[in-house]
Amino acid sequence: MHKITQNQRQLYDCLFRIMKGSLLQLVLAICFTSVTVAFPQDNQALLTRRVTLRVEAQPLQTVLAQLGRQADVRFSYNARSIAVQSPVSLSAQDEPLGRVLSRLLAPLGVDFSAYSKQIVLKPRRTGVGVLPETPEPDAGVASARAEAPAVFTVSGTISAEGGEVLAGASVVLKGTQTGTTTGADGGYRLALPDGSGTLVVSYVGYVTREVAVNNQAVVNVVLTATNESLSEVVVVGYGTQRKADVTGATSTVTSKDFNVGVINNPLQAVQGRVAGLNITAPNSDPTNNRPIIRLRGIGSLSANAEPLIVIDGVLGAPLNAVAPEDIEKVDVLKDASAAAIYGARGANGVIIITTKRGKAGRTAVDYNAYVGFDSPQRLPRVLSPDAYFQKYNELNPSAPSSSTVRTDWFREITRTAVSMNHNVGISGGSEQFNYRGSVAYLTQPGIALNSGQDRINARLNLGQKAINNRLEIQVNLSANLYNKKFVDYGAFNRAALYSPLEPVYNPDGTFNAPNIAFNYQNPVAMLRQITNQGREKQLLGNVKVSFELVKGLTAGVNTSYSLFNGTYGYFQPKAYFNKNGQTNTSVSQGRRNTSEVTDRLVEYTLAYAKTSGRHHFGAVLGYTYQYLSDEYFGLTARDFPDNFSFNNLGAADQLLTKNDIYSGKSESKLDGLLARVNYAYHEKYLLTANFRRDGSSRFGANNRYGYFPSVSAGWRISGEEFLRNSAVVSELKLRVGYGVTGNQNGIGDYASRLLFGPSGNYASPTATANNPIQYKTAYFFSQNANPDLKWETSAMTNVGVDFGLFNNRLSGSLELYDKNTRNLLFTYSVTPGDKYGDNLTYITNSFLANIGTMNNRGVELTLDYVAVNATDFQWRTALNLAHNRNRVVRLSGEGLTFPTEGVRFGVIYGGTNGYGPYGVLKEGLPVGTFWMPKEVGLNDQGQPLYEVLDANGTALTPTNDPGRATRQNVGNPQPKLTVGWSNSLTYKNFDLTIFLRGAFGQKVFNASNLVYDNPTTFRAGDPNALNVYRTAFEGSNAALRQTGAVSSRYVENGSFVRLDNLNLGYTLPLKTPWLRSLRAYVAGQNLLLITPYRGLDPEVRSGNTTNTYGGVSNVGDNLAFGLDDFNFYPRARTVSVGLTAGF
Amino acid sequence: MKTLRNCLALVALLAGVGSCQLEPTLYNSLDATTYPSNDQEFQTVIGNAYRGLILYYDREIYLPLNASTDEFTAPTRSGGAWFDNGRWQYFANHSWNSTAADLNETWDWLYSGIATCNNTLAILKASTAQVTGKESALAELRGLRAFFYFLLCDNFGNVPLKTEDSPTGNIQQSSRTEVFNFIEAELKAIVPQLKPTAHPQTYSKFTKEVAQTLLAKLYLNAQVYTGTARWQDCIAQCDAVIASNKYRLNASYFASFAFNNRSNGSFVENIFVIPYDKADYRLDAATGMAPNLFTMHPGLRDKYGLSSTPWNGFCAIADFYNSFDNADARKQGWIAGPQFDAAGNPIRFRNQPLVINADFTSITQATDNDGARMVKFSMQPGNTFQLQDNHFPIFRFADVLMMKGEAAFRLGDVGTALTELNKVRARSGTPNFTPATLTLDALLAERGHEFYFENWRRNDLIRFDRFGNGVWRFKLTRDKKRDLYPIPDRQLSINPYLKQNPGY
Repeated sequence: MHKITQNQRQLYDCLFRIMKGSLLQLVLAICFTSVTVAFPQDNQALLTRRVTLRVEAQPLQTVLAQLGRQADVRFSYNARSIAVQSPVSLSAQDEPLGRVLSRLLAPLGVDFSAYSKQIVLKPRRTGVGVLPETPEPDAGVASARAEAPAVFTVSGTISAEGGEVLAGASVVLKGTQTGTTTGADGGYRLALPDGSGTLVVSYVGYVTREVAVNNQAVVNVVLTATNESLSEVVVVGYGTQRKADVTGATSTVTSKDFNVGVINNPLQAVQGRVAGLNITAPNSDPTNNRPIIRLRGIGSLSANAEPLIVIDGVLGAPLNAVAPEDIEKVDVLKDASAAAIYGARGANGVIIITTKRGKAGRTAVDYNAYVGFDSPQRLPRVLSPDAYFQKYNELNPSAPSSSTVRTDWFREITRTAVSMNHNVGISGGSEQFNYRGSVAYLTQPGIALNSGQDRINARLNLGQKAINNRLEIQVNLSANLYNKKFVDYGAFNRAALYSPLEPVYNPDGTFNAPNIAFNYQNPVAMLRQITNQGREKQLLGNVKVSFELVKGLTAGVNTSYSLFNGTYGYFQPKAYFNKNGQTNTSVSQGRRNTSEVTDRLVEYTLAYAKTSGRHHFGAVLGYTYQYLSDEYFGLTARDFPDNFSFNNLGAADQLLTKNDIYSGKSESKLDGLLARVNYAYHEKYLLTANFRRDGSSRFGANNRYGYFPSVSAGWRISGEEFLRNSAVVSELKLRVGYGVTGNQNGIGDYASRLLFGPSGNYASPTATANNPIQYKTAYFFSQNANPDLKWETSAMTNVGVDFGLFNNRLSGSLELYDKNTRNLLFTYSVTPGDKYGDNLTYITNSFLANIGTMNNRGVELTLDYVAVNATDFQWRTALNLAHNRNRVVRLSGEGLTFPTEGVRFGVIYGGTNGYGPYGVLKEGLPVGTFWMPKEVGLNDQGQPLYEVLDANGTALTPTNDPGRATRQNVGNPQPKLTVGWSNSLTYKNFDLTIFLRGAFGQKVFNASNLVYDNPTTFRAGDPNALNVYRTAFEGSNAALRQTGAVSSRYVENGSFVRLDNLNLGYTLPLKTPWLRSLRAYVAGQNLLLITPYRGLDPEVRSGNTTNTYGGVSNVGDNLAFGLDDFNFYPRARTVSVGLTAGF
Repeated sequence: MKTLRNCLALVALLAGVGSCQLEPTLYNSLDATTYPSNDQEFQTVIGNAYRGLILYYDREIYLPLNASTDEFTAPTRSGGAWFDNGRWQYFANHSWNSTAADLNETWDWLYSGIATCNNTLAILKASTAQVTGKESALAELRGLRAFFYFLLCDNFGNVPLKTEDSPTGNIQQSSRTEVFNFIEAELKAIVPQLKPTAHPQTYSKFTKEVAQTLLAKLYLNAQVYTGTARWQDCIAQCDAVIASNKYRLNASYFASFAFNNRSNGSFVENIFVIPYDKADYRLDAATGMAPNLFTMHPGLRDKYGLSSTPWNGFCAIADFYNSFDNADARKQGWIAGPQFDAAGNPIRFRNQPLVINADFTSITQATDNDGARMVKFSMQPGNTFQLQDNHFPIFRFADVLMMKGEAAFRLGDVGTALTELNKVRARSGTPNFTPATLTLDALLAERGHEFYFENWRRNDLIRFDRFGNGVWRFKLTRDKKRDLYPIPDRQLSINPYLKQNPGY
């Protein structure tokens, strides 16, 4: 606590200097006196309304009524628990309502909270002025503002669906100020002028109902819980909008719906929660925590087909700058009409992360800790040591093995990894100032020996208002440290293949290393002997200032600085190359390299909002400038003692050749102008238009600037008269949008330019006979120029319907989209020497150009349903479904031809040269389509036979030569349907979340089977015969006498359903002054996988990933879809036990 | 509204200020508009053109096209190693088609080399900077380009001729004869401009004698390329090289291929070498001179003091290995049979004594020990790099003598043939050819024994009509069209002028 205070003080010194105001004392006073008012953040606006009132010793009830009229709000309270007749005095001159209420109510021990149009007063647990909470025998009577003579009395009980009575619900006669609130038993009694009116019954978190009295003396009303989605605020980029006003396709996930457990990266928390957003963690290697993110299909052929990440307004912010625990909510802008404000970077959608901030009110301390246990969910089912022994002797009857060693190699290289997490957040503030500081620490060893990561994320978010709230300053600072231990995934491949009759160690304690094929390494030695570490630091500082120039017009400046620094070290001892009984002539090798990425952003915005009658008008105008640079350096040295490391490279006996040293730097600049206009009439007819002009230093000289417009419209049909009183439809909105967005990620920093670079060594004669040459560095053109290079352009049409039925008990949305991406970036093969463009000549054989067209179209359905809402038991279920169809439309044009037969790609590493390619990029087919020979059976020599088709598609005699077989489409690795289904159940103090995630209709290439599921891999007569799957000798494999080749034999159905997250919690029914809440939970991740797939896990990477957040991967790998490689790191099943406490 | 207007003006101002230079600073490469500008910089650019030769001996690019002979192959070994999607098998059994990626890679490599020459010529011609020996530099570049065209002519035959003066757009296909004529004319034109060989100042450079040797090689194959034999022209060029008096045979056959052949004086025989460097950067670890990796057996790593475990790939086809006379010193360039370490103890591999089995019968199911391994390019001991330092001799003086001998023999001048051929044969320790033993078959075999793993086997087999029309183990069908490789499909789709070679 003291430490945080220090931080605040330092920060305040800083702020003080900026503002040159004397806010310090005021703020500190508010901060330290722990004002016990709670302002739910989303309704702050209500409390900022200004009031002027001077009263002396008036009943509280009266004062509230006056304040209510001035501020146009209604107060709800239970007259039995709050002494509304107590005399109070008040003096306020044009002050915000919130502040006035704090002053008025705090001494009475009354808390208040603001909801959409009302302020609810509640007693604090102890305090003066609070009536005892003992229920009275008859229904509570409270006449708050009885203004008309009462001649008719109505009474009843307000309850939630399922019977839970609602204490504090508001019951008001429609069109009047006459109303009351329910008592602790949910009862009310209200005196009315007559029996003909209509009662408006409302309660926070429930759908407001209107019930006609119809001269009944007893009117009982049952309310339905809302899911509040329509009153949510959606971050739309350079501003926020109410969900109800949004015209683009957006989704929001708030922290209460995040996945729970060992959450390694921020987006894992929302995996599966948003229709159309596919987040695939490649495996459970803690260091490889950058998931593949694809929104609405694959929108690019380049590696960076990922949505733009925006953290607290910082564009392109690194994901590792935020701890999952610090995220308040994640907004996803899916369609172009929403994302166009992000211009040349919005084409693959935008993910906006908003971090938690302090709230006005009491200081809150949140502590969360868990211990997680990771174990491999599935491992390759190779022959057990005993089965291997048996099989070996069966195949070698003349020379049976007598080995008594039985090694389970997977057991030797894996472990149950115990991760631990501690997270403390301290927050609080007043209406003017808020703060939240947090530290998260996670140590996460990997399930493979010697792998793992630990991280520390520290964050401080501050907010200050001044000059009558016209000036607002936010300062967000985060410092993050990651320590990583990388491992070679080849170890799992070797563990599968290695003979279980071989021991791990030789009798002398060295690693057992039989002297055989080069790819046959002791897997334990692979993991134990190599040191491969990284330490990554990510700093992100962000200052936002906004100033209200005149009412409705706000100028803003947003600046940020991000610094990523990675330092890596690698050491490979000489012993790594030991072979039993052989002299080792290798030398050890050490490497050190660093990488530094800086990103500076400044944005100026001007926002205007005006409401006039039924017209609401808003506009944003802005300018942004961003500068990025990337620097790296590394060197390698050889020949150290084996117990050395990479920390003193100068100690090496072999130092530095040209191979061993490298450094580099590149930069890029972005320059954007943006504008948005939105207009709403009567909250029914909505119109939004965005525009952005983006310039980038990466674009070619002929195309420096791109223009990205969008327009969208919405019609809230439920606002129309004919639906206003519908019992079924409570909310219905139709949205239509069209927009153009860009993607510049596939363009490297200098990609458009003609470059001259070092091209290797050339021999320069020396005139010395015994050494006739020396090597010097040759230079030549290293890249073709493309002055026309530009962004990829996506034009997307989106039609969406948002609906709420049965008082919003069932709500959801349906989206239809059609996205055409033109100017696709692709690296074309060109013929060096050919001339092109404006008298240019191809110098190298590759040329990055914008030629192709790709289409993605799909449907997304999101449903949210409150299934049960009883007193002790609630069940909410949410389902999202997404279908996307991807198709490459055209790849040739503008003088560049793409072969009509397509280009095959994808190499499965193994053997010497690999087994690929297995995929194709071809016009008319989805990206990544599996393209390979189709197996039609085996011949009598046990060789697979492959289909041969002539030009008309007629089948000819099959061949056993995969080179002659007809390559054809044997499956699409992209799913037809992705599903996320969550269920939240609460029973008394227990809560349970069950989250299932699935994907259907995709194919996976099972590369493990290619090697392990083949009886020829297990070779008779070989004392170190490679191990195989248990199924290698069974069924259709038994007759196989041919080494595996890429063919349809290994293409399998990859559909799956995964029990992704299960979280069972118990909230202790505690009532102590210092402990707000205490919840204990057990969470399981990846508990169950249901799939017909025979390999380890059908959820494989789609596109490449890199070890670091900042890394960029190459284009070719991005097309490598659906490969279940045999060099892998298994996915873990995680069980964690945790505790969250609020103080 | 006035405030609004002011604010808009402010934003416009900020935008104007901020719309600053989008031109990035280049940090890690040179600006192509200002380089090269002086003599030293030009040397780096001319030196670059020679780098095109590197893939001549590359496992991934040009070796596959040379793995189609009776000399060597890469059989598929245990665990599917070297299956490589059938690549080595279809070259070995002559079932490749125009979609084979290796064909296109070779095509791309050669045209890339040509384009580099063309572009460098254009830069050099346009430059006003003072460049030392500009005329001979231009001639060197044209000579290099002629060598790339020679390889195109030899492998693909009918190809487009592109020079630095070619117009924009696709280039017409030239017939094999036209390509031949172009190469001949270029070489004849540059011979007077090229520097004559001077040891060691012209080491690894395209000299006058290199051009003459290439002309000899061109004439030797003229009948294949154009239908018209040019034996006498071949002899004339060989004689010019011999008369230069710059070259003689090394005493040891293996000196030309040793890992230290840059400094062991073997340049007296090696007329044109690719100066491989084990530490050449920008190449990935396995592109370049790597016989230690692509042929060697892993069990022999320590015997030869290799730091990288060999890949156990290429090996001799049994009949080729067996065709060597045991007395032939050149047979020592292969290893086969039981293997022993320096102390004479048997080397063990997979817990058994290592026996290299020269006589293997399957390229689809070979064992790890199958096939004799090439050690003619000597293994570099104590080398911590994956690559080696052996310079690769494209042309050797031995070839000049044997070309002259062959041309003379074909012209019926057996006396000259015996003289020249026996000069080379004498070194191997095998009996001299006599008028009785010298036949075309014997000459073909002799060339195989002298030039194995030097990328001449396919060229020789075709000239003796034993390639497409030949039969050997793993290649059982005769198909004359395979004397030419097909134009890669990829190229046909790029350039509509290209017509496929006959039969494909």
